[in-house]
Amino acid sequence: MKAKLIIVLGTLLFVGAAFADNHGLSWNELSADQQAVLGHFSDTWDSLPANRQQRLATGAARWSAMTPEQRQQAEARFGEWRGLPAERRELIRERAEIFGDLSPEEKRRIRENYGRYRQMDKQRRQALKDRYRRMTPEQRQRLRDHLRERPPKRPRDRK
Amino acid sequence: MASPERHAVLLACGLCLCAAAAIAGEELPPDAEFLEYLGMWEETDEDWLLLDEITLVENMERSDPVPEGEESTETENES
Repeated sequence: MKAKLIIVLGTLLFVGAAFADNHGLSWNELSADQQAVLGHFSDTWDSLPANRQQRLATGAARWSAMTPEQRQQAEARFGEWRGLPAERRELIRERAEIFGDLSPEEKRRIRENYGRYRQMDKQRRQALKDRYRRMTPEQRQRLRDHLRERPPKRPRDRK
Repeated sequence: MASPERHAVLLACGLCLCAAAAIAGEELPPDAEFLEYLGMWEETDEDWLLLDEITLVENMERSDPVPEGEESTETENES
């Protein structure tokens, strides 16, 4: 009896979680701008997986808010992204997952560091890269693990 | 005008009209792959550039850029 109860409760929890994760966006929830950009999806929108809907809706909102210059820059970055080897893109996606679990303070600190890095002249950036390359594989791995091992500091509430 | 010639002229006119409409018309919406790419990042699609360099950027907090000519001695005591 106890075992049955556990199975039933477990199933309910699993189904509940699945429903919670699969909550999609209805076409009517999209803004007019998003609908305009995603017009050719209007008939098939409801059949798209929820995570694809989310990416498309976010992408459409970002595209709508961009200036022509920003659009050109984003298209150039997209070209660069597509040109990366598949393994490198996968690694970046994994890092995005880890980064998403960091606390807002940690994200802010890393973004600030990156801002400083971007503002450095080529020579200084190269000096940093060279120094990083001089690390032993063990040291580099430890640095990567340093990020990976951080425990999430907030609930998973990402998009 | 013979029928095949007439068809050719009509086709040419149609193509010209389509091209003119495309040039004069609004910008076509981006394709789905590009939109998904734009939407997959937390803040902006520039995020992937940060993530690509994140181990390096993370390292910056412990040791700011090496002044020119100076050799690095960092990371030996990392834990």
